[in-house]
Amino acid sequence: MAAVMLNLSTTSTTPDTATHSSGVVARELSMHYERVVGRERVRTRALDNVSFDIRPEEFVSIIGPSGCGKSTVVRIAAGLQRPSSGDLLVGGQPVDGPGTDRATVFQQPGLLPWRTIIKNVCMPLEIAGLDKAERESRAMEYLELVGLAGFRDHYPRELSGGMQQRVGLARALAVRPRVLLMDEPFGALDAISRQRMQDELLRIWEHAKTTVIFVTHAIDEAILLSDRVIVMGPGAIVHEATIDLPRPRSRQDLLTDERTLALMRDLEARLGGDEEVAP
Amino acid sequence: MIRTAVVERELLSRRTAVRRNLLSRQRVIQISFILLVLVGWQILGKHEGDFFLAPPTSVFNAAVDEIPTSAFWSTLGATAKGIALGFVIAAVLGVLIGILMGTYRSVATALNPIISAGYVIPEAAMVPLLIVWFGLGNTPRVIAVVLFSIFEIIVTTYTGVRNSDAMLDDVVRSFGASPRQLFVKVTMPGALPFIFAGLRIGAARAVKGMVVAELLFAATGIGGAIQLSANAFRTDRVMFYVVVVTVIGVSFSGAVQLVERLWMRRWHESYRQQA
Repeated sequence: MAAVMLNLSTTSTTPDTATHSSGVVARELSMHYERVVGRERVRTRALDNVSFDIRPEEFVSIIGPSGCGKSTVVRIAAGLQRPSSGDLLVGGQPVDGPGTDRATVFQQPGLLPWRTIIKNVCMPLEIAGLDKAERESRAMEYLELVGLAGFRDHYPRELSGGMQQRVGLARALAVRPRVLLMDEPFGALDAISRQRMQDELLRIWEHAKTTVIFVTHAIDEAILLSDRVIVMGPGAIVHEATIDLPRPRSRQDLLTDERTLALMRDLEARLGGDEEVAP
Repeated sequence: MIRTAVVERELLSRRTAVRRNLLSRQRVIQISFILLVLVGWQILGKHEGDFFLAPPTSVFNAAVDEIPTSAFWSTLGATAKGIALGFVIAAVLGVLIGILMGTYRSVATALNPIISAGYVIPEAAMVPLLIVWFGLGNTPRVIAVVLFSIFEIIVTTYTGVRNSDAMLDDVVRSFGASPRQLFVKVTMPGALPFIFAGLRIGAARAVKGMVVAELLFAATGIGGAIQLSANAFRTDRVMFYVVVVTVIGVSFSGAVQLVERLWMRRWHESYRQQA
C-alpha cells in the first residue's frame, strides 16, 4: 500500500498525455443484422437510433443488461464494425475503421501467447510504425505505470488474469489514445483483482485525462468510476445520470454515503434490476 | 505497487538433469518393454529358423555384412536424397496451398473436393501411373514422395490458419493492423504449431512414399534392396532394411521436431505447461 501512495505522489512515471483527448458523438446510430433462417428473414436491431455526446476527458460508463447493444457501441467506436446507419464521430471526425486515436481494452486480455509481455505492449506501436528503441521505451513506461515492469520478459500464460488485463490496459494506453474504449474490461476478474483494477484505472485516468467509454453491467463500478452513466435497454438509451460525486472517490462511499446509495437504487430500478441484488 | 508471487528458479546440476531425463519411470518402462520384445523375438526366431523369422542376432549379422559395403551407402544416399527433395517440395507447396485455402474462401471451396479425394486415394495405386507418365527415373519417385506427404501438410496448415483466434484478430485489428500485418502477427504464429504437426506427419509419410515407390519400381534404393533380398530368401536382410527405413523415418520426423522446438522454444514450453 505504501508503494501505491508513493506512486500517487510522484508523477515521474506518469506520461503526459493530458492535452490530447477527443469527444465522442453518436448521431442516430443504428445497427441492424439480417439473417435468413429457413424461409424467414430475421432482423435484429442491436442499436436503434442511439445518440449521445461525450465531452473530451469525460469518463462515461454504459450499463445495461447483456444483449442490449452496449458492446456494439464500443465495437463501432473502435472501428471493428460499421453502423447500418448514423454516424459516430471521434474528435469531430466520423469513424472510418480502426485507428490509433482510439484504443480498446476488451473483456479478455487478448494477449498474443507467443509474445513476451513487453512485445505484447509493443504490438500496436509496431503497427503505428514506431522504431524499435522508441517502442520499447514507450512500452516500458506504460508497464511501469501498471506496475508490471518486472514481468517484461514473461509470457502471458505465466501471469494471472488480473495481471494480464493490466498488460492489456498498458498496451491500450501505450498508443496514447484520445479515446480509451473499455468493453467490460474487469468482467472476468475476481472481486479483489477487480477492485485493484478500478483503483489503478482511476489513478491512471486522473493523470492521463483521456476520454473513456466504459462498458459494464455492474452499477457500483459505473458509479465509482464515471462522470456520467448511460443506461441502455434493448437497442436504445433509456436513461442518463450525471455522477457529481467529488473525486477522488472512495469505495467506502458506495456502502455508506446516502446520495450514492440513492443513485444506486435509482439506476437499479431503471435497469429493471431483475437479476441484480439490491444494495 | 501490487505485490505478486515470487518465482524461484534453481538450476539443476548436470548430473541430476541427466538422471531425470534418462531414468524417468516412463523411460524405464519403454526400455524394458523393448527388451522384452527383442528377447521374445530372439527365442521365437531361433525356434522357427532364419527364413521364417530371422532372430535379432541374424539381423545384426546382416547389418554387419551390409553396412561396410559402398553399395549400401549409395542405396541409402539415393533413397534419402529422394525423400528429402520430395519432402521439401511437399512442405513448401503444402504450406502455401494450406495458407491460400485458409485465407481465401474461394480457394478452399475449389480445392476441398480434390484434397478430400487425394486424402483417401491409396497413393501406392498411383505409382504405376507415375511410371507410365514419368518413366523409371528419379522424377516419379520424388513425385510419389510428394503425393504421400503433401495432403497431411495442406490439411493441417489449412486447419491452423482457419483456427486463428477471432478474439486476437479483433484486438490486433482494433489497433489498425492491415490484413498483411494481421496475417504476420496473429494468423501465422497461431498456425505454426499446426503446420509443424503436419510437417512431422508429412516427414514420416515421405519415407513411406519413397520405399513404396521403390518396391513397385525395378529394384532401386532401399525398397529395391528389400525386394532383392526377399527374392534371394534372405529374411535377415529384409529385416535389416526395414530397420534402416525405420531409422530414416524416425530421424526425419525427429529433425522436423528439432526445428519446431528451436523455433518456438519458450512459447512451446509455456504452451505445454498449460495443456
